[in-house]
Amino acid sequence: MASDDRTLTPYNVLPNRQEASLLVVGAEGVGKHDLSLAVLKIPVQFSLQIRTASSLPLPTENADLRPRIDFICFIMSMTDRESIQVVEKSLSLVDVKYFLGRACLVVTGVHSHKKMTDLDQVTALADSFNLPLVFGEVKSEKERDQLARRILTMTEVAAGFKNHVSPLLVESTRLVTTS
Amino acid sequence: MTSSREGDGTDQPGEVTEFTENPDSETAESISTLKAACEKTWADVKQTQEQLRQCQQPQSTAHFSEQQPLLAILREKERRLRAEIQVAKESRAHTLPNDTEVVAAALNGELQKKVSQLRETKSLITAQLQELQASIEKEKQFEQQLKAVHDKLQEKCQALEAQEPAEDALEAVAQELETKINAAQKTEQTVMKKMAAFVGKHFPVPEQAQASRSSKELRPRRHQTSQETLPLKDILLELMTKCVESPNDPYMALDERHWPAYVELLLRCNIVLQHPDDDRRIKLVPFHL
Repeated sequence: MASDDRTLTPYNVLPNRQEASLLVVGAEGVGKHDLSLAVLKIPVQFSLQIRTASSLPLPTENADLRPRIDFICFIMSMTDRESIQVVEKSLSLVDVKYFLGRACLVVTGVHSHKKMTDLDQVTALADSFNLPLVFGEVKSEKERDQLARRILTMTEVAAGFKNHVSPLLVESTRLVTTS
Repeated sequence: MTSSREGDGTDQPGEVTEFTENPDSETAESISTLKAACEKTWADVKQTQEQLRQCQQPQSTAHFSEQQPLLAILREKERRLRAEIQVAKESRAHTLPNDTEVVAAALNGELQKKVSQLRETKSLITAQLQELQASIEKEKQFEQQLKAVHDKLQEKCQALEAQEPAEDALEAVAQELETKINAAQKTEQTVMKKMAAFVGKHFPVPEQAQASRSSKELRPRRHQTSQETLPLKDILLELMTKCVESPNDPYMALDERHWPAYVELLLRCNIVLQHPDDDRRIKLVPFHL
């Protein structure tokens, strides 16, 4: 089916040694570049590549040159309904295997007054895809660094740099509240 | 070591880099053995990848029912967990090659890592300890302050209980007020009497002839005598009553009974004021304000 070519799969390409790759998906203006720069500032032993996309599916021109995506980070803002729609659409174009601990949902703008959506909606979305939910504000530097650190640790686990720890192991220790 | 991850080449390249610092013939041998092992593992990885690619079918969550992507995810999770458990059971422990150099280097690296980690922990813990001590000190001071306040309050409570009951105090205050009122009333009466006497003596009732003369009538009217002109005392009394009793309407309307001379006198002495719109009305100047 045509959609098969467009879905992202984690095991297409061989992993490169000492390299990890992170994909950040989110609508325009949600803070992808700021977050990526913050993640890159943290010193690590391997070389980290961050790619940003404003929506999936990824364009097919560079499909061959793209390395294996270890971790996908969906960013959305509670003040921007469009970003939520973009994320919802992209979620269905990602292979199932990414939801076993290789993806997460970052939500910004929780403290703002102009919220366009409910917190319930956001948690429902995260629960329906079993995504770990991370709240943070990309605009404030301290929160941005904390957010970057969390995403980096998740990426490291997903890329296999932590011995004996697989993303599924981390995922299964996550607290899931059933409604 | 086989892990659930598809490839694992990250351990051994790290060890190789440590060796390049002391080139030696023995170490050269160890290096070559390590390199061979590395390459073998990498070949395994590639083979596994090929196998994976062949039997792989990318499924997006949209393939399953739209309302329940969670179902597909959980199913996939179950499969993978089973696989990981199986791999963990079957995998044997990874042993380093028997080469002493390799073993020594590996151990050295591990020890250094542990030492640096422990150093970090130590600094962290000392910082926490200091913070805790500072907070303990603060809490102790706070406790002392609160104790002092508590003691003072208790003293005050006891002092209040030892005093006479409050009911008598109220009665005493009431008594005082009553005496004050009586004294004030007495003074008022004496003052009024004195004033009346003074005014009556120096400002008598004008005779009818004078009153009729000042009015500009050519023929004295018969009805003029029906109302007698008021003595100044009465005018003053009425003004004062009006001023005190009805402060929102202190104006008194002037009549024929009021001798205009007296009115003029009061006006000139700034005792009364005329109403701004109506000349016939006058009010007492509020001296008490």
